[in-house]
Amino acid sequence: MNPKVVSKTKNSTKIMFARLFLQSIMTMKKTNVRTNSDHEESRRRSLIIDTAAYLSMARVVGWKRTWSRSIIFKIRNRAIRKKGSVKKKRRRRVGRIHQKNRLFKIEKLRKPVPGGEAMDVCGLLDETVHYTKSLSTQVKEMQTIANNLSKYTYNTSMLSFLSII
Amino acid sequence: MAMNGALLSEMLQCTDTTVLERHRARFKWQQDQHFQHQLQENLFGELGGVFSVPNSVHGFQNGFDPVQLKPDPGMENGWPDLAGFGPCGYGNGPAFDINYGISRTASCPPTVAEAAVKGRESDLSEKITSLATKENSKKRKVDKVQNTKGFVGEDDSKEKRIKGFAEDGESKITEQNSNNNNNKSSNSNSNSNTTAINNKNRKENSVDTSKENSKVSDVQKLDYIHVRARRGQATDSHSLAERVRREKISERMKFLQDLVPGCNKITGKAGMLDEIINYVQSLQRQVEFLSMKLAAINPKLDFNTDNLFAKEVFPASTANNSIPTIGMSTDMTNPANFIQFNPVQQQLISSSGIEMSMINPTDIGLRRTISSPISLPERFLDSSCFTATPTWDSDLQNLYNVTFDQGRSSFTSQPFTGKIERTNKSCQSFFLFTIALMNF
Repeated sequence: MNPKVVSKTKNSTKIMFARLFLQSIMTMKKTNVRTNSDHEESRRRSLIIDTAAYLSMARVVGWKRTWSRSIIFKIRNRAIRKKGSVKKKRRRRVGRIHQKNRLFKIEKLRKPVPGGEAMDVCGLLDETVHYTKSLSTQVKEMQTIANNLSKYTYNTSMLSFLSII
Repeated sequence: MAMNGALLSEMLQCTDTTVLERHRARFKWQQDQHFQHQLQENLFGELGGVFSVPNSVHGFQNGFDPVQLKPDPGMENGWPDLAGFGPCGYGNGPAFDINYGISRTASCPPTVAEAAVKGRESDLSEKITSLATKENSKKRKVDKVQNTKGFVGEDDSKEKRIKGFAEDGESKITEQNSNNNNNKSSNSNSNSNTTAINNKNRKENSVDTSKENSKVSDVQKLDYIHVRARRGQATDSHSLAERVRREKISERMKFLQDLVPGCNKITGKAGMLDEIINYVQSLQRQVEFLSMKLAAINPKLDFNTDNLFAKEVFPASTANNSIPTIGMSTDMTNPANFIQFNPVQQQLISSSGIEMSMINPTDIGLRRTISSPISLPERFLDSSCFTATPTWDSDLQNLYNVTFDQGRSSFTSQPFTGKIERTNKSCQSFFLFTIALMNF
């Protein structure tokens, strides 16, 4: 019974993520303005989709986790800054850096985990556990979506081809 | 049951009233759990086929009424909170929901039901709470059987770990509770303020009462109440705190070791951390790559959907025509279907009409078209999460389904695929539905 519960909840997070992600993609499609060069366009698009994926995962997780909060704040702040109001750079001082090997590695771990700059080691590891889990879920889900979309486009093209015949 | 009765009589001899209450609650919960196990087994025995199928149409056609059945276990226990579990909006179907609800009831004591509902949002906390409750029950049994204090230390360390991984809110609650308990121990008074506490806190209580027995009352060690130094270890507060911190870190490293693939063989924390960092970065890179892929797909998708809508009139009209006839023969008229599709379908339906035909999603789609004009059952609509879709929309969805499943005709040739694939497919069809709806 326990694995069933787990799978169910996992499914719900997955579905929530998929819904938010697809919504954001669709809204993006409506609002985008085509630039001149094709390469630049695709680059910009992929960046936006990347951001959308992270943001939707963070939204699914909610405010309980530090990493999701930091992702949401970061993206929001970036949006505000793009509007041209504030340009302020705050640099937090990471606590004393130990020269021991392990702790030095832990300092390295602060960079990939969002919001990990100002955290104690326990909290950082805790966040890392959760972040890794949700990130793997996100990757799986995005793979599914990408596969489905590619199949979908393939099938629609096939259908149009068939109906023409 | 006999053992439980003996335990109860033992408990009656206790002088502490709150302890008695707690034991009673536990006893009741165990009874409930036992009963629900039986119920669950019965249900699964009878309706195993139904439970394994995620979609709602199947359950409906079997004459099995999931929604009526659902509130029953909840009502028998006298906590109608279960009704909140009703058909959720994600379109997984009510059969799934029952499953979920029952397992829920079995795994949680009744007092925790609300807290569990709250904690449903995040899977991690979910897992942990269920795990914690289970472990708690085990531990309580142990505590009951032998009231020695030797076990306390080990239990403490385990529970502390669990607590460390529980959600923030819960830990807050536990902190409050520990405050309560501190007051209690300092006053050594009645425990009236600790009666209205849910499960987590009950766990804490058990710890703290055991501690009360050992007569260690330190207000300073508020955060790490249940830490005790073993023989030969330093006992001042700083080294205790440091030890707790180290234990926490090693615990988390263990979790990470389970999470990150290929991390089991590495010994030494430095190498493990290296591996973890690599894994996280690779995941991030993967996200980047996938977003590039999606960006490449997206314009094509735009183009193709536009293309599809121009052509859509033809198959939709055929689907409309095929409504009065039986779903099987419509497949022949529908030009979008592959030819190899039909014999498989006929075989499936002739051999066992219900279960196997569910596997074929196009068949579902066709049935949906059939059932949509004839007074759609509300349950069905609820389960499919798109309430009040007009027939035109449903037709379009069917169209999408058909187009989507052509590429995966190999899927239909495997009648008894696992549940995972089915759920996966339901997820996929859900994506398709979202795409279809967003395009309108």
